[in-house]
Amino acid sequence: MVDRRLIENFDWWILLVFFAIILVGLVALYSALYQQIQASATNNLFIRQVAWLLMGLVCFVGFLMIDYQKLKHFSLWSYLAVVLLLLLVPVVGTEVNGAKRWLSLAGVRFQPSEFMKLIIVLHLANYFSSHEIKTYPRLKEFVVPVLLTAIPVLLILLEPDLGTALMVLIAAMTLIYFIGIRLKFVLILLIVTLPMIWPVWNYALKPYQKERILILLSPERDPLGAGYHIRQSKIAIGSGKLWGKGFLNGTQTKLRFLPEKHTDFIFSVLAEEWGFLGCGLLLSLFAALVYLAFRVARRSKDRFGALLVIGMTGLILWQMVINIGMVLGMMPVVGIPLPFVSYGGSSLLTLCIAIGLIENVSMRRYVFHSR
Amino acid sequence: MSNQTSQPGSPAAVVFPRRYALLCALLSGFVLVGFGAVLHKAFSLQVLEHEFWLGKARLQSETTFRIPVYRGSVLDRNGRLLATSVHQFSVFVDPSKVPDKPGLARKLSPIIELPAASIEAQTKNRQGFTWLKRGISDQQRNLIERLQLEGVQLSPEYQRFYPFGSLAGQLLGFTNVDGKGLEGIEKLYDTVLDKEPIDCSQLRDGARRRISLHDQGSDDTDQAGGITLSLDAVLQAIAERELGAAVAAQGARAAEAVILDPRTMEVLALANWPPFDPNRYQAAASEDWRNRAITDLFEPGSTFKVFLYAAAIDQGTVRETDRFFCENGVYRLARNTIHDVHPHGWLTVPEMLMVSSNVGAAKLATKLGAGKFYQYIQAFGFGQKSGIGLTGEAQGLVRPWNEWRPIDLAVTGFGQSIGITALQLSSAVATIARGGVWQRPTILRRALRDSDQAEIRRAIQPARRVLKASTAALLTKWLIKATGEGGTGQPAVPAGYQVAGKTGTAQIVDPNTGTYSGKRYNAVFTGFVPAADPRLVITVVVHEPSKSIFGGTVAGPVFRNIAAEALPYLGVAPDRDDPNGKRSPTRWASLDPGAGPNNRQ
Repeated sequence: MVDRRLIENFDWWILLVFFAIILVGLVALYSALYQQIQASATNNLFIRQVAWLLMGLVCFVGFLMIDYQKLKHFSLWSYLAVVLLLLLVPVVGTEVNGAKRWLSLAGVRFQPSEFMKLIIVLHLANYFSSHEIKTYPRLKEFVVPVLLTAIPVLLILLEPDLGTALMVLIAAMTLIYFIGIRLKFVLILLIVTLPMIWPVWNYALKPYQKERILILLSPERDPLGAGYHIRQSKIAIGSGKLWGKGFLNGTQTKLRFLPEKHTDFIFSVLAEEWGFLGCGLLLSLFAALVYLAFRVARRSKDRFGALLVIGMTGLILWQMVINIGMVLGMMPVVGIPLPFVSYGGSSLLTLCIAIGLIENVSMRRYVFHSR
Repeated sequence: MSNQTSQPGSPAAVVFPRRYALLCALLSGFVLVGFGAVLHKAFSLQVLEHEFWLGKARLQSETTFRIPVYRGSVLDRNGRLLATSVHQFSVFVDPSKVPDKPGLARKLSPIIELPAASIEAQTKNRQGFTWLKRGISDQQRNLIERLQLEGVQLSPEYQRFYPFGSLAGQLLGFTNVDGKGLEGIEKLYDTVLDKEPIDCSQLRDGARRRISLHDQGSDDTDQAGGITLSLDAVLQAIAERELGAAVAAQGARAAEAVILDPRTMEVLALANWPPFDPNRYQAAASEDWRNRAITDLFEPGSTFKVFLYAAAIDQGTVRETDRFFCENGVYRLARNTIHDVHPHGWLTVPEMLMVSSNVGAAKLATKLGAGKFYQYIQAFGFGQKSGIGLTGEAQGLVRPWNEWRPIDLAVTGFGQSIGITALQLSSAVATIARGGVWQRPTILRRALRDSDQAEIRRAIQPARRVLKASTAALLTKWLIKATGEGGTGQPAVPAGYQVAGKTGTAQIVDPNTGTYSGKRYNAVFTGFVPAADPRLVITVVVHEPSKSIFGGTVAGPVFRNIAAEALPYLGVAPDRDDPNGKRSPTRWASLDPGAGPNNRQ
C-alpha cells in the first residue's frame, strides 16, 4: 500500500502551481487556436492538447508510484531505447517543414528528441550519483557523460532541431555544473570552443540562423524577412499594455500576423491579451515552481534524487527562459517551446513526467529511514 | 569535499551538501536576475513603449477609411427634389503600389479624360493616396474595374446633384466635393443636411486581406434626412423664365424677383437672372452665385412712396381728400430740384400716389417729418435683415433720421438715398397685404427628420402691427388705383385679377461721379394679387434695362406674366371679369420640370 508518509511528503504547492501554469497555458492556447476551434469544435489542436494533457496527468500519477530509486535500473536501457528511436527518425520519420523530427506510432506523432531531454537528465543523474564519482570529477570521468550527451545532441541536430539539441546539451551542463566542474576544465572548454566560433559561423550555421543572431543585434534589420517573427512578437507584446486587450481580443493572433502563435510564440498571445499582468503572473508561477523544486532538491535524501530534481527543474527553467527571452527579442529565435503552455504533445507529456519525478523525490525524502 | 561521502546519520547533509545549496542559491540568484531582466523587458515593451508598439499593430492591422454619409435632400414645398445626393465613385491611386506608372497613365487617360502626363505626374513623388478623379460615371467605373490596374482603387462617394439644373441655383447654393455646403441653403442648413462621415476601421490580416470584424459603423445613411423649403419649383421656374425674357427683351444687366405668400410669409420663389447652375458651380462666375434678391441693394424709387403714404395716413398727417400742389413737375428745394416725369398741378393724396408724383411725395415727406417717417421705415423692416436666415443677406442702407437734411427727407419720400433688397421690399408690401401686420419671411418649411427639427427652429420673431387695418385697407385701395386706368402700374395687371401695386423707376448712382446717372435705372414693380384677398406678393426688379426704363413698362409685365400663370396654378379664381374675355393661359403645367423626381411618395 501507499505509505502514509508518501502522502505527508507530497508537495501540494508544486501540484497547485503546476495546475495553475497548465490553466494559464490552456487559456492562452485556446485564444491562439481560436480560429481553428471555431472552424471545428471537435477536431482541432486544442482538443488534442487536452488529450495529451490527460495522458500527461496519467503519466504524472504513474511516475509518482514508482520509487525513483528503481529508475536507476532502467536509465541506461531507456537511454539506449531513445537513442535507437533517434536513429530511426532519419529512416522512417515524418518530415514537416523540411525537418524530420517525428515518429508515427498508431497514427500518433511524437518526437523522440523530447523524451531525450528527460532521459539525459535521468541517466546523467544516475551516472553522477554513483559512489565512484566525487564532486569535481577528474577529466577522464567526464568522457562518459560527454559522450552520453554528444550522441543524442548530434542526432537531434541532424534532424535538424537546434532548439531541442540545445536543451539536451543545457540539461546535461546543468547537471555537470551541479556535480562540480573544475575551473581549468571550463578554461579548456573555452579555449577549445572559442576558435570554433569562426568556422561554425561560416560553415555550420545556415544563413537563416545567422540572420536570427544578427537580428538580435539590430532589431530593425529586415522586418519583413528574418526579423518578421520577432517584430510581430514585439508588436503583440507591446500592444498589450498593463491589462492587455482582453481574452480573445488580440489582433496579432487573430489576424495571423504572429507566426507559430500556438507553439513558440504563445507567450506573445498571452502578453497581448492579458498584458503585463498576465506575463507577470505566468513568470511568478514559474518562479514559484523553480523555488519549490529547488526546495525538494535540497531536502532530497540522496544525490540521485537531488540531481534528478535539479535536472528536471533545469529543463523547465531553461526552456522557459530561452523561450521568453526569444519572444521578447532578447535572444535569437530558436525553436524552443514554452513549457506547459506551448502546443506540443511530446513536450507536455515530458513535462508532466518531469513534475511527477520531482514530486516523486519529494514524497520519498524520508523513506530512507524506514528501511 | 570531505562531507560528500555517505554519512548515514544525517542523510540530507550527505546528499545535499552545502555546496549544492550554494549552487542552488547561485542558480536561484541567476534565475531571479533573469526573471528580473525578462520582467523589465516585458514592462518596457508593454508599458513604456506601449504606444509605439500599439501604433505598429494598428498600422499593420487596421485600415481606416471614411464612409461617406448621405447628405440630406432639399425639397420644394411639393416634395420635388431640388438638391439630392447620388452615389458615385471616385478613383484614386496609391502610387507606391503602381508597378508601371506610364502604362497606368496611358490606360487611364482615355477613360477618365485627363491627359496621361498629368495622371503620371499624380502618381509620382507622392506617398499614399491621391485622387485622380472624383465623381466618375458608371461607364467609367466599369471600364476601370475591367482594367484591374494595380494600385488604382475606386471609392464610393456621394455626389451632390441638382435635378432642376439652374432652378433656384443661387438660393440652393452648392457643396464642395467633400459634401460641405459652401453657399445658400446648402451652407445655411449644413448642420442639418450634412452628417459627419463615419470613420470606419477595418482589420487586415497578415496576408493583407481585409476582414470585417468591426461593425461598419452605425448605419446612419438615413435617407430620410433633409429639409423641405417653402419654395414652389413651378413658381420659381415661372419667375426665372419671365425674368430671363424681360432681361433679353429690355437688354438689362440682371434681374430678380421674389414671390411671397402674404398669408404665411413663406417665400415661394426667389429668382435671379442670370441663372446659375450649382451642378457646375466652378464654371460659373462667382458673382452669379449671389442670391441678388437678398444680397444686392438698390434704391427702391417710387415703390417706396407706398410706405411714405402709409405712414402719413396712419399718423393722420394727411387725409384722403387733402390736396397738394405738385409744382408742375419742377420743385426747388434749397439747391436741389425735384422733377416729375409728367407735370401735375393740384392733386389729391391718392392721385399723387397713382401718378407717382415725386414733388407730391417730397412735400408729403416734409410734412410727415423725418422722425416719424424713419420710425415707419424701421417698422416695415428696412435697414435690417429680414430674418429669413439666408447667409449673405444684406441689412440695407438707412441712415439715422437725425442725420437727414431736408433734401434727404424729401428724396427718401420717393425712394432715393436709401438701399433695400427685393426681399425687404416684398415683406414690407406684404405688410399692407396682410392688413398692416409685419412678419418675418421664411424659406424653410420643415426638416424631414424630427431630430433635426429643433436644430433648425429659430426664435420666431413675433409679428408686429405696423399700420392700422384701416390704413392698410385705404392704401390697398390706392394701390389698386395705381394699377388702374391712368396709373403707372397698368401693365402689371393680368387678365381677370385685380392687382394692388406700385411701380418704381430708380436712378442709379454712378459710383464714379457720386451723382445720379441719367442713363442707368432700376425698374421695379411690387404688389400683391388678388388685391381683395391677397395670395401672392410679387416684387420684380430689373437692373439697368436699356430699351425702356420705367418700372411700369419693364417690371410691370414681368409681374403680370408671373401672376397670370401663378394664380391659376395655385387655383385662385379670377376676381373680376376679363375685359377682353380672355382667360389667362395655363402654361404652367408644361413647365413643371419634375417629370421624375417630384413623385416622391
